[in-house]
Amino acid sequence: MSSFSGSAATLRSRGWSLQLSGYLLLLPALSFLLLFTHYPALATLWQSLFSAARASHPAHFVGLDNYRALLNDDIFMQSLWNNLLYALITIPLAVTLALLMALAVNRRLRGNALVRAAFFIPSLLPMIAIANLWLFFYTPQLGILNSLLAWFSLPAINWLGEPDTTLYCLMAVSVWREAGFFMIFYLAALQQIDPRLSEAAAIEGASRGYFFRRVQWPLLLPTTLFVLINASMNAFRIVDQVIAMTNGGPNNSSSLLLFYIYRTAFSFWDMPAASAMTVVLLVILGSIALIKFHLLDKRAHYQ
Amino acid sequence: MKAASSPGGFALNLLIWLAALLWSLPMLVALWIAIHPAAGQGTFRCWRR
Repeated sequence: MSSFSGSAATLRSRGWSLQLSGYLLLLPALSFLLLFTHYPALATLWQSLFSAARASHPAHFVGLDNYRALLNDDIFMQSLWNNLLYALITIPLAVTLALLMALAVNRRLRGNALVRAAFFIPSLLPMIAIANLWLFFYTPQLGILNSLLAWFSLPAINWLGEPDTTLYCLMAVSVWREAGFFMIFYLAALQQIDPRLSEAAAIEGASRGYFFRRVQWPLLLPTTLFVLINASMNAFRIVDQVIAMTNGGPNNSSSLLLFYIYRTAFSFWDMPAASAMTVVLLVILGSIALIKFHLLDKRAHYQ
Repeated sequence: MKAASSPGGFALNLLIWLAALLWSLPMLVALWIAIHPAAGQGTFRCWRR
């Protein structure tokens, strides 16, 4: 009996030491995660509950006043709406184009490397260079789009100077930039699919569309989930493109959420308001990730 | 699967090539402006110094 309890104690102590070594191995990564990710998020949340410190008025606790002020901030509401519209249009477009591109370059094609490069290079270019390239299209006097309109005797449009067109012009640039990047993930996933499946489908006489719908698409769902989450995060993280192309104008029609946060924090120096907006942005991104993981993960097929 | 040598396969390949050309149009336009003496109007003036 005593030898049995002794061996149980030995097993328990070995389990504890295993757990301890596990936590010690986790410690370096965990400490960096806590220090550089979770602590700033909590500090932002805490700062959003205080008023802005001014020379004669030190910051004091105001509760949810900064959040209430956001509801009355027309520019914030417009930026939020612009960003939602931007996400709703660019994400499906970029992901669909990425999938089509991947399917296109996955087939036997002469000069395949060149076609892949043509699709992928835009995602390698820095944002300022991309903005400069697209200004050749959108510039009112010299731009290619207006030259094309002139060929058909149509009136010129100030693409980046009119509130109705500016946001859509930014969307086009984003889709052009991101689709090639997401294509790489789809291409990698397509090349992971066992070639015997396509051979079997060919023998059975399955059409290309049927093979895609019943075999390739279910196997691509984990990649789609990953790409969708990345695309959603990118849609709410965009700021450099807005600064380079429109600076939020005209009349805030191209102001996006992160751009407005940046301007509030570093042009107006209203850190608590910027913190409150950041918390709203974090909630939006967290909700998107949760919804996608819960809904799509159930339908994803992992090989 | 349709072979690339069949007429349908050739048309699809041609379509893919046209799409790739269209996709790289912004970069080709920039290249054209960079090397064309009249276009650009100073955008790439530093190259000519």
